[in-house]
Amino acid sequence: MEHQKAAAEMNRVCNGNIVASHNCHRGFSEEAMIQSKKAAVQNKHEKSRKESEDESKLPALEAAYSTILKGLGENTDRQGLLLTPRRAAKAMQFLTKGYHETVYEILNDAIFDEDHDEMVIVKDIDMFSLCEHHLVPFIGKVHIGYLPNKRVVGLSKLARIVEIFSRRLQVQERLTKQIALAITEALNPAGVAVVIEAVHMCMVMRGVQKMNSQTITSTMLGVFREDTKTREEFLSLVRS
Amino acid sequence: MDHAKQKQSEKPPPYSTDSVNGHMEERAPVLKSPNRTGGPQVVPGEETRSHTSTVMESWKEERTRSIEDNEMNLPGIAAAYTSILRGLGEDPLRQGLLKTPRRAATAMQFFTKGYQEKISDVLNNAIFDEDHDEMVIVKDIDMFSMCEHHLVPFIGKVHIGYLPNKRVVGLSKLARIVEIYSRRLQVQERLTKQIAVAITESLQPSGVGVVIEASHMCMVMRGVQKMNSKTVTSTMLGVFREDPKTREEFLKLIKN
Repeated sequence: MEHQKAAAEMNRVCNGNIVASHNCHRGFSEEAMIQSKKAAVQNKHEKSRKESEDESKLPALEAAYSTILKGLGENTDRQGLLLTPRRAAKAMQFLTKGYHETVYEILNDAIFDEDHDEMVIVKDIDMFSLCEHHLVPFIGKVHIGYLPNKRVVGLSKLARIVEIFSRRLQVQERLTKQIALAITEALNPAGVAVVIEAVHMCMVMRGVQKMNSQTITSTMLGVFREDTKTREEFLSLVRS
Repeated sequence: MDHAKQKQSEKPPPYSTDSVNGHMEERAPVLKSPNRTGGPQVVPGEETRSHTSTVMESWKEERTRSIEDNEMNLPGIAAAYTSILRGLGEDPLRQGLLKTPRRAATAMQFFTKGYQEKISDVLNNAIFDEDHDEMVIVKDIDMFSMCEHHLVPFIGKVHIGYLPNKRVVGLSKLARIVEIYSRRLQVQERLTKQIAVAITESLQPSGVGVVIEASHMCMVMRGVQKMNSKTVTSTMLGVFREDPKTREEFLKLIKN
């Protein structure tokens, strides 16, 4: 009974609903669950956009960008800036298109039963996101590894999961965790590891202005958390 | 004869200088290499217009924004960002986004702080008379600018070379000139030219070469989404334009 309830909850996708607390896997400790719930509650408002609404929201965004240009002291009538509010509004909508999408939609078909229980790694996935604090891009690479438990996923789907969560207003820590949890919920693997190395334009272009610094975050779930050797193998394969 | 007339700042520049918020839509000035009478000569082209002194001095008087303007405009820009957040489907009241409009507005003002600065402020003290007439190059100057079409950053490196004509400039001032012009809403071509023209007008060197290689986030993060493509623009003035060997030397020295 308890197990079935947990299983039913497990099938809810990580897209703003409270993340299921399933205890089937070692390493998905209570603490991780509490943490993930906190993140999910923060995320509750993040999936609130429909693609069809984008057109209707455009004029308001354009007006806002016009105001910004004027406030910066620019002349909005000059040739280069005439259509900029519209372009900037569309660009911003594109850069936050992750709000339209759910993991469930892109993953549903590409999970296969495969008798494979060795590590699968997809690394160097280019990632572009927007810092939610300054609305300035941060760009980097995502490395994902998982240990399947009879179910493998189409490889490009891992990159698509990255796209969904990165094309939002994000914090790098939350992004890492969301990707890991999404894979966990979809596949129930023995373990998942996600590492993100990114350069934050808000640190490079302004503020401290440190050009060469990178921010690295990681989330280790399941055996990757419990077993040091597994984690080590993943990290050395990613580094090479 | 011409030489007396063509003392530096009193001769109207031989190109149109319609200043649009400090952006000059001008053609490249034509510099001749030093002739036997010495000193650079700015040769007026056929399209020379007569200018009032305000236009003539426009490169020196480019400031269009002050610190007080910034403070005054901040709430308006922050309000605009709040409505952008709502328009994107986000909740501006959640913890991570509470102060975002203000931070984003301040960040945007920082990214366009070039509008507050004047070349003359930055350069005035650091021009020195030096009997040097070999090429001076400052390369790999990191540059961060904002694409004026999409309001998305483009970042890259600037390489500057000039052939002094008895006057050299402090090296960091070249980087400061880059900062002034890049911290604006820009187009890479215009940025390249503005840097070259500013150096020309302030130093009257025999020639100036500016090369910018940049990666445009508007191409990388959206649109065609080509991660590894770079845009390279260059402006060659004076001997760099006239003499292929000088240009070659410059281009070779800036290559890695």
